[in-house]
Amino acid sequence: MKKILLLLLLAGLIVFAGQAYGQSNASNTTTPIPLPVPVPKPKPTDTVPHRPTDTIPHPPDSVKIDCKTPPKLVSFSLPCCVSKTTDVASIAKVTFDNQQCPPPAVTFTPATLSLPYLSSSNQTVTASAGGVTLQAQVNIVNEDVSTGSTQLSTDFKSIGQKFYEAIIDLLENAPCAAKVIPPSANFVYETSLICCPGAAGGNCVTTSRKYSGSASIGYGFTCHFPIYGCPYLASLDAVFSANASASVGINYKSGCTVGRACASIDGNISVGGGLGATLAAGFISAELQLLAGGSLNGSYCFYPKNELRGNITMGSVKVVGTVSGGWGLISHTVEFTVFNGVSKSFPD
Amino acid sequence: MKKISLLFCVLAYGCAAAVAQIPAFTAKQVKVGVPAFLPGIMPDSSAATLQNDTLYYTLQGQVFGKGTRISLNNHFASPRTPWQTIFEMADAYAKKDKQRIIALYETGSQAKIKALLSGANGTQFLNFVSRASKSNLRLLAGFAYKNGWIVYTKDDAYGLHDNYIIQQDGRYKLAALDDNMAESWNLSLYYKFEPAPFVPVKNVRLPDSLAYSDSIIVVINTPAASKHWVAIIGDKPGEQVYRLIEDNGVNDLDRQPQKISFYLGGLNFRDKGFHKFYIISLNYPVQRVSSNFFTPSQNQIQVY
Repeated sequence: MKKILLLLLLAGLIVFAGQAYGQSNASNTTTPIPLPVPVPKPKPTDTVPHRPTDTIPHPPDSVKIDCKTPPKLVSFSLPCCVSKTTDVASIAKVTFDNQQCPPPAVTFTPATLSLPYLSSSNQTVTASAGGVTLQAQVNIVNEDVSTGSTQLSTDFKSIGQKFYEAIIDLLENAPCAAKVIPPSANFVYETSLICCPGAAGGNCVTTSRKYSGSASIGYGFTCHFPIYGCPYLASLDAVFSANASASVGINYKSGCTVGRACASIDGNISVGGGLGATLAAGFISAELQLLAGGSLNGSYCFYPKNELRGNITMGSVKVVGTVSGGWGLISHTVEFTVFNGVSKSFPD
Repeated sequence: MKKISLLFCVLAYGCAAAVAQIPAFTAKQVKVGVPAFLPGIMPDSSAATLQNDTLYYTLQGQVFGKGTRISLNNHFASPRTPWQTIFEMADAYAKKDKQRIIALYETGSQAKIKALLSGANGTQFLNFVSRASKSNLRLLAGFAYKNGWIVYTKDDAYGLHDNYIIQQDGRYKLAALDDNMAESWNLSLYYKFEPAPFVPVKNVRLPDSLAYSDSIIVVINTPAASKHWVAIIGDKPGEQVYRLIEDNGVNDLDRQPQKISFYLGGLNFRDKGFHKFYIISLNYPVQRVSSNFFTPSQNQIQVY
């Protein structure tokens, strides 16, 4: 019986010794080594201080982590929305409970978010890893899909009307009266959904307006004014036609931040016409051309509120030509200004 | 003896100097200041000096103030001064004497005057010049110009006439002129308007403020009969005047002389806000603001 006990004790010692030897090569256990381990004496260097003893205690990183159990998927999230075809892996945020151990592979279903044919869709995406499956929602927005179209003809008419009023105001000061051809045109804006991931309040899918259209505003004037600057006559009645045209164009899409949808208005005022006068059977005559110009510049903002800003300039009007007097035998080549021009900005 | 001489002159249809007040030809250096803000004035940096919005021409010539009446019945077959030429011209025009008219012109210009006289409108032309000559034709000034003299005359029917006179064979002859220089044109305008100093219009009842879309009627009694234009001008030189109204013109609401009534609207000031402006009376129309018009009699209005 004593022999049997002795053998059992010996066997137990052998087993213990074997376990102690195997621990030094294993990485998936967390059992600490109970005895100090002799290590080779480090070579002295400039950066590694010489240890005063040949035996070091357990270094801190030598705490053994048990990665026998793989990290567990604990959360999965996606951005509120995307607006282009996207690999889920590139936007997904996943976390595991044990970040010190290598995570298992995550499988996303679907792996790719494709744009819907409609303006938007809500997609449920699953993330699976290590037997854990989590879900997240994402809005997929096809920003190219229109959700509606609205005519802006009323707004445009107001542009024309306001320019008209401004020109009329100018001409009250200018030496001519005006007739205006009412403008007509229309603008549209299309709505679509856009993805604004960082939008406040969680409303990451918002409506965008895409303004488009182009048109021209045309005005016609018949101006009649006296030219005093002819030496031989008290005044010459000049009649000329003036045309004003402005091109209006917009191609704007509102974004995630509050922007302004404005159409730029650029135009010019051209004045044409001649001025001829023959009096007293050739005694006095004038062959003159009127040269003038002007411009219309401005912008009309449709969004976030209707607002017209602009400037209209009626340029100077010059008279160029030949005037004959001197009992019919003296002619002058002339070029002089009859109207210095005015400009008007609005809103006032 | 004097009577005999006078009779001889009349019979010979000449020696008119003996009976008419024909000025002596005494040209000297004169300086003419032409307001650059007169209508029609052309820039002229080559011949004039611009100071205080005025083009100053230093010229060799002779000026006659308000003008020397060009009496008729004078005959100078061989004019020895530009003034004799003018007097001869007036008489020839008045009498519609084609031969005398043609003879007045230098040889290079005679074809033109012949064409004018013999053309389809020759009779109308003669009627015209004849009437002008008989309508208080006055000699205003003459200046050395190019190779001759530019002479300004004016009548009550048609206004200003410029005349170009050159010396040919020792005689002063009318000549045609194709002129592309600003100088004679600007001087023509000066003598057309004969600008007198403007007069500030004071004590006009005006509101302190005016709605942009509203207007009021302003009544101004012009200070002098000769100043029959009223201008409302802003305080920015070079800008177009706010309003220009001629006494009894199209914008004058009454038909009384020396009284101008007109609408003044908020929009005349172009923009809302405070506007400083002047009201002046002139004897010529003015279309752009000159700092020459700025006086202590400044007005202010708020357009809202």
